[in-house]
Amino acid sequence: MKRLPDGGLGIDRTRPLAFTWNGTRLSGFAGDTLASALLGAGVRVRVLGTSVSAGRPRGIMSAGLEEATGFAQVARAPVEEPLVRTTALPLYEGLSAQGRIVKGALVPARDPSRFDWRYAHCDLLVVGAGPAGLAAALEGARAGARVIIADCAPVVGGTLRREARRIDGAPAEAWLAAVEHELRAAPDVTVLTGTTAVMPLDQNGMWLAQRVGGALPEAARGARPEQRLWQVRAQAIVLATGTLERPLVFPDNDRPGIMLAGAARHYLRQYALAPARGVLFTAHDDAYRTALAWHEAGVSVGAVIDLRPPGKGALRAAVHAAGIRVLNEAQVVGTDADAHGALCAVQVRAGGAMFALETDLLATSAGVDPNLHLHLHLGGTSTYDQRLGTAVPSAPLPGQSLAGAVTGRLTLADALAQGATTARAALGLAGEAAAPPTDDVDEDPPGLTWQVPAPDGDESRSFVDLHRDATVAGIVRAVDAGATHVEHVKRYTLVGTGVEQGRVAKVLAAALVAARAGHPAAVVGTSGSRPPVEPIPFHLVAGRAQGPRFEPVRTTALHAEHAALGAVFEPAGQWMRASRYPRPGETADDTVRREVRAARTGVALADVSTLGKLDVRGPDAAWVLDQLYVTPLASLPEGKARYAVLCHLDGSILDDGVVMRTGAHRYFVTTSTGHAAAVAEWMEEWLQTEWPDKRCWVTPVTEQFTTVAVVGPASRTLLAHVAPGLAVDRDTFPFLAVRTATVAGIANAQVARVSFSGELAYEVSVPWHDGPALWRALLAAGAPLGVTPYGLDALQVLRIEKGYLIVGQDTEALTTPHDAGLGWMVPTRKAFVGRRSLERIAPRAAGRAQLVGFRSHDPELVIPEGAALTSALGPPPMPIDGHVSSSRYSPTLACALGLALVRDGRARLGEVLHAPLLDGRVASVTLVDPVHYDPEGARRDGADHQ
Amino acid sequence: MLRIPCPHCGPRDEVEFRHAGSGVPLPEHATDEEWARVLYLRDTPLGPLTEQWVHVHGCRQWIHVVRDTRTHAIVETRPVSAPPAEPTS
Repeated sequence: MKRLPDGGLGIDRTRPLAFTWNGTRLSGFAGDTLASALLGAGVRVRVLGTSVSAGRPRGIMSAGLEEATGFAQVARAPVEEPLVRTTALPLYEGLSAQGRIVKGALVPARDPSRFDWRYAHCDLLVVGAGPAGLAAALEGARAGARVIIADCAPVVGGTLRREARRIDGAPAEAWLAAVEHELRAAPDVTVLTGTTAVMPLDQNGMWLAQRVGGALPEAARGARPEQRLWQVRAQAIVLATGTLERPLVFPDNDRPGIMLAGAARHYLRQYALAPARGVLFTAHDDAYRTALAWHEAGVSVGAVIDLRPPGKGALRAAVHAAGIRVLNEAQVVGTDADAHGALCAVQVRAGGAMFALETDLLATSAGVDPNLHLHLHLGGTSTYDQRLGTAVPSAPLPGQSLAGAVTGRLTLADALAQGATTARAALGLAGEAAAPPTDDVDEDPPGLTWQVPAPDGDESRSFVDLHRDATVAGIVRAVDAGATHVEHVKRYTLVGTGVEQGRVAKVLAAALVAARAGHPAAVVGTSGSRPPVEPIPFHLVAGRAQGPRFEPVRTTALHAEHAALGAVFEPAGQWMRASRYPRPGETADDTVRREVRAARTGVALADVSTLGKLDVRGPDAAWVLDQLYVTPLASLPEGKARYAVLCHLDGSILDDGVVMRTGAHRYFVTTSTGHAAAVAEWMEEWLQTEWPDKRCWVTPVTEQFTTVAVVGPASRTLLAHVAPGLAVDRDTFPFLAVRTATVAGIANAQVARVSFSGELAYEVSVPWHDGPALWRALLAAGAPLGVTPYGLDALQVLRIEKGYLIVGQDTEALTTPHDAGLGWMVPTRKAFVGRRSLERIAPRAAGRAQLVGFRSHDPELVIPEGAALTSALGPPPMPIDGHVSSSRYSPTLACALGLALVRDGRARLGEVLHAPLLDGRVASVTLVDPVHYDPEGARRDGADHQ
Repeated sequence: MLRIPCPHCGPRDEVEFRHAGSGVPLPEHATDEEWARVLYLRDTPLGPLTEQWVHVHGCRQWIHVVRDTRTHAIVETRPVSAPPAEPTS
């Protein structure tokens, strides 16, 4: 193929563009696609690359969505975009790409490009901007409707761009220009090109993938996103997606230089690309337009080879009249390649004779297939059309309609009329639309044989899927092996699983399966179609929710304080929490040991603001909480706190926390970190669906209060310093009491004597933004006491030493309160959610996983959390008796220890279990009571004299 | 991506809601078999199915949605009300 000296309606020869292909600098024009620019650049780039399985040279075989081999890897520094369809990418100055036709390569650099989402609503969404789609959009625009029309090609017009048609007695270009102008000028019409409708949504939605910045030179991209995903909701959708052209199958039908007939004339008309000598091989009339277009442009036409017997169609007559050689009931039975692997001749069999025809472009066409995929994705059905030999849509889905060639009505007149009519019907407009006259002609029926058998019987070079190198031989082998269902053939041969998604290949494959299996094509059908229509990058679906925006990062009011102290942070759900506060020269272990020792022997501070908090109030708050929680809460006195557990209906633990009674009708409920929203929703669900008559209101208030834990034997002393008006002696402020006081000058602070460490401790809650003042006051007043901030690492050690569980870590989906060692809190008579299930489970406790403690035999070996525990070491399979749920080194007991869920664990204390580790070592543990330290609870109230 | 007409807020995209079970009424008294059915067994009809959804990013109300399992058409939505007093079969 070469660029003719003039012509080319789509290119602007006054604006040459330089681009780089496989390292070579080439030139094209504004208006070219990468495909047309490559074709125009000469012989040396006709060979795009070699196929994966067969290693055969391949080129560009279409001008649109049918493309199965013309793919490139396009540079977009610092990354590259793989598998870009060259027929879709507009050429821009400085474009740099490589031929990678089979699979792309991932570049490890992070892609800095932006990918955006846009949400849009409209009255009418038209998919496809060919004649039918444009006619539909025009009706909508003239009716004043909000219209969105989208087409995956860089320009509107569809098939009108590839041949010289006449509408209303004038060239179709004039109609096209006028319509496009009218649509773009209408204020409520959005015309999107380079935009592929990739996936339909239920209830009349559609995803459109629009190439934005990616179609521009880098210097011109500015702040534009690389691509944009439109999520459109439409009152009505018109699918005017047209047809896809189907190639013929014959030996060596894959060479660079063999392309679809419609594509060949599209390249001629729009891009002034023509062969030195073209040959047309067809089974239907419409492809004859390519021969006529070549002839009119002065291109040498070697022959038109038609599988069918002679006919009367007007296009066939016109080709005869032009003196072009036509061979009927003839076949191409093979092709020859030059030294570069590109087409140089075809082998023809006609009238009993075989001969060769020199050619550098063989245009083939077996007919067209309606482009049904969006219709099929949501369950639309199709039927077999006997005349076309392919599937046409049956009833449209609710809210949708189909118009134009996609319905199997292939004339231009039908497209214009149907487009207008369906749009009017969709918008509820009365009256018929006037469709302009066109130059359609009568055509002979298309032939329904699309494959030429190899003269030597070797079908392994007759390609059906050019991306997967699936051949006729492969399909025959599949059918002969018993795979007569198209879905089985698809998996056996991979036909239709390539980048082209079987748009073309699977129709050919289905016909071959039908022929080989001896079933009617109508019965065989084609394999299923799934979205997206074209591959889209994950980046596009993620949109802006990438990197730091993937998930919100939540920090407490004390975050800057922790950072100023040099804290190391870790994510806990969406929160960033301080893990520890290292001092110079300390290892991580040193820091944790120091913080634990401070909490157990002095005074230490932790930011526990992230624990969920709920405000529950109302005349029925007591009743509601009492019903939901296992623990009795209606009887909780004002000013007291109680550790409480919440269960699912099936008796498993949903959450635990401390519930405080702050008034006759008010409770302050705490939950595990990250569970406040789930617990609040659980309460709401019961209030709304089961107890709508109860007056109880639940408000998550986690972000309303900063809570600081003041922990250790000296905590009472420190609290007295910062809250001089608060009586802190043991008798006035006992364990689980809740008081209100002025702390660090902050009025109405809540102080609760609760402990997650087993030491004397207080949790002080102030309004969120008063947190830093509280923290600093505690640090200042605590300095003479050696006050030590401590983080999550030390917090874990402290609670594990005391056997305090964390829901979701030391409990699993089925763990009941009895399993977790909390059977003591289950009341005998009170109703609670989960009671019915526990009544059945509790008497059948044998064999259930129970929470126990363990001590590591090697005191320095911390056993990884999640390690399986077995009683019988030996060759696999070893029985799994349980697993380690929490595990740390305890400086207090100078031993690695933790908690585990073990089958019948409580009856097995003292038993030795083994944990095979990933590095091949085997750790051994002894099962013990989960409360490793101070089981009597003597440390809870601090020293007597305070 | 369903579009669910919230009875309080109007038509909204599925991402504003959370599917919240089947809204099976809880019986006052149940044998073990009946209770297991309530907890674990669900009908899976080919056709309209009543589901419970909650409009978490909207009015935060629990609603009943009748959805056709074949076509995903939303047949009806209504506010949830307290379950009937009589036990269900």
